[in-house]
Parts: sequence; C-alpha cells; structure tokens
Amino acid sequence: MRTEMREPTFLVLAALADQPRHGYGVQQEVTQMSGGTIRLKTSTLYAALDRLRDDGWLREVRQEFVDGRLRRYYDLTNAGRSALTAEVEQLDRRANEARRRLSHRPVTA
Amino acid sequence: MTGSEDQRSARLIYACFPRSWRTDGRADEALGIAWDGADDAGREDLGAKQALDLSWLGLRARVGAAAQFLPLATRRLVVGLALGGGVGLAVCLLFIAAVPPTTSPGAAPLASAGTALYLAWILSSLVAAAGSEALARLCLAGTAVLTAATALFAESAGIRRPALFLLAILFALSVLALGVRPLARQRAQERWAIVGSAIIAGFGIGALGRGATYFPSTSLYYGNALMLSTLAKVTLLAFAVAALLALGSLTGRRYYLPALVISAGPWAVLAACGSTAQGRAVYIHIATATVSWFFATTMVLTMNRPNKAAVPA
Repeated sequence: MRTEMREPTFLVLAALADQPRHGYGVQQEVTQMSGGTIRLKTSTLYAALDRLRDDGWLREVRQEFVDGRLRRYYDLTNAGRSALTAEVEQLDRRANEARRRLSHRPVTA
Repeated sequence: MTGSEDQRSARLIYACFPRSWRTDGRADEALGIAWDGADDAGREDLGAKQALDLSWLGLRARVGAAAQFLPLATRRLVVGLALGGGVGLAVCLLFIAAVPPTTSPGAAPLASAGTALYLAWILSSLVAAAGSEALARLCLAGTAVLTAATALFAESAGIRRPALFLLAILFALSVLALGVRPLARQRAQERWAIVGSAIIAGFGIGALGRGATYFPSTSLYYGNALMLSTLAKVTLLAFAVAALLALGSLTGRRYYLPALVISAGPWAVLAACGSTAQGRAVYIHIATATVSWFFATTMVLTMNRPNKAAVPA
C-alpha cells in the first residue's frame, strides 16, 4: 500500500527536481516555491534530508567550504525522481477532480 | 549577545549532537544552514528560536543514533514485540480491571486509573496498525507520559492505580514501541496480524486465565474458566468467531496462520489445562500463552523484509 507523502518531503524533493542544491539552497527554494508562505525550520529540513538520503531518494554529489561552513550538495536519485513523479501525478489527479466538480456548479453572487 | 556568549551558545548546541554527527560533518552542516539563514537576515547571532530548533535536532539525532546500533530487522522485531506485547497486556488488564493487588472478587471493573492507560494503548496500537506513524508516535508518547504520571501522582491524589511493576512494564513497552518507523514500512497485513492477534490473545489470557480467579462468583464465572455460564460461553464463542473473521480479512491469507497461532494460543492452552485451571495452572497457562505469542509474533515479524514501497515520512 502506498502511503501519503508528507509536505516537507514533497517540498524538499521538488526543490531538488531541477538541479542539485545545498541545504540552505533547498530551504530558500522551498520558500520561493511557496511564494514566501512556507519556511522550513532547520531541524525539519535537515531531518528530511537525512532521512531521504538514508532511504536512497537523495544522494550527496559534492561538498565545499564557504566562509568556513560545510555545504553539501544533494541531488535526486532515480528512486527519488520516480517517487516525486508519482506524487505529482496523484496531486494532479486530485486537483483535476476538484476542478471538474467545481465546474459543475458555477459561482453564484 | 557578546562574542563569548555566541561561542558558548554554539558549543552548547554542538554538544547536543551525537558524536557520529560531529565527526562526519552533519552537525557542522546543520549549523551552517542556520548560520546562512542568520547572515541573510542580517543577524549576527542565531537567535534563541534557531538555537532551540538546532538543539532539538541534535537531541533527536542522539536518540536516533542510539537506535542505529541495532540492525533494522532487530529494531522491527523489538518494536513489533513491544507493540503487540503492550496492547495484549493492556487488553488483558482492561478485562480483569487490574486494580491494586488487594482486589477482591467481584470488585467493580474499570475502577482504576489504569483504565485510561489500557484504552490509550489500544488506541495507539490500532493507529499504528492502520499505518499512521506520526499519529501512533504521538499516541504512544502520550501513553508513556500518562503511565509515568499515574505511577508518580495517582496514589497521592487518592486515585486507585495498577501495581507499580505493571506500570513499569507498560511504560517500558510504550517507550520501545515509540520507534514505530520500521514497523510502518511493513505490510498492513503484517501490522494487523501483530496487533489484532495480540488483542485477541490478551483477551484470552485475561478473560480465561485471570478473569476466572478474579470473578469467581459473578454471573459470568463460577471460579473456573471451563465451568462458564451459558451466557459466558455464548458471549466468548461469538467474540472468538467475530474476532477471527475480522483478523482473517485484515491479515490476508499469508499471515492468517501465524495470526491464528498467536490469537488461539491462550485459548488452546487453557483448554489443555482442563478443569484444573486454577492456582498454579493459571500461571502455567499465562506463561505458555505468552511464550506461544512471542514465537508466533517473531515469526510474523521475520517473514518479510520492510515494504520498500512505503514513502519516507
């Protein structure tokens, strides 16, 4: 049985869909994707990164030191990409269904 | 905040992380993310909220790191046995209303603070069996806190409570079962096999074993579990049939046999004890039923590897 993907997981995967990013880059991307409404806490972000890496959905591609701070860059693995694709398709189906139902009853004043 | 206070605060946060995180750079990386955010916001320190958040991450990592010493298969086994054992015990105790050791025959059931704990256990295990990992953790954590509070405060508040050793066992099992994550990846049929059959086994042990000694003169028990009233026989038979049918539909064909062994163990052992199921025989019945439950549950938990299709939380 496929279980529901939680929002932080989805957002982190989506932030990495187009290119590898480091932790803070993912945090910024999530904020940008959500139009500034969602800002992942560092603990939430890092716990998600750590778990997704353990589960083989992300992999570390390189690391660098900037101003003495360690930055690790992450990218989606094939398994992570497939999972994100499946989730997007499911959300898409739900949104389409909601849209279809809304169109059955026009807005009244 | 001064420079030295900053350093002290950073050292404290750093100390929250387990050694493995400090040596492989994960603690540095997490702190780096927080410092990048502080820089962008034009702050010279992390701020109390961020410091607390990082400390929380570190402490959670410590708990996780401690669990990582055990391989996944072992963790799954420990969690499964804790969850099944906890709910089985809770059902058993709920049924016999384990009020203080001085319980007299015919004492009103459910007249103890333990009732809330037993119901909390049943709820938590059902949530875990349904696959909701986060909610199950919340319920189990609440159960652990409730158990500790009962042990510490019930007596002074004048509320009857189960014996302390029972509370200690329930507390330990709820803490162990808090690691429900490995179990959440098992197939739903396996989770139901563990939880559902433990509930039925707990009922069997409680109702047929101890129940007979606690309620020897009520309309249900006549001092011996095999000398039940007609009403009790019909009730138990109806329950057994309904429970086993429900278990079959929840566990599927693959897990039904081990689930049946777990469920029916106590009932079969009691029948084997025959009309001598009193005194020492009751304890033999409980011990044998517990051992059969242990082996059958272990069998269910080792039948399969985790379900890879499950989504990380």
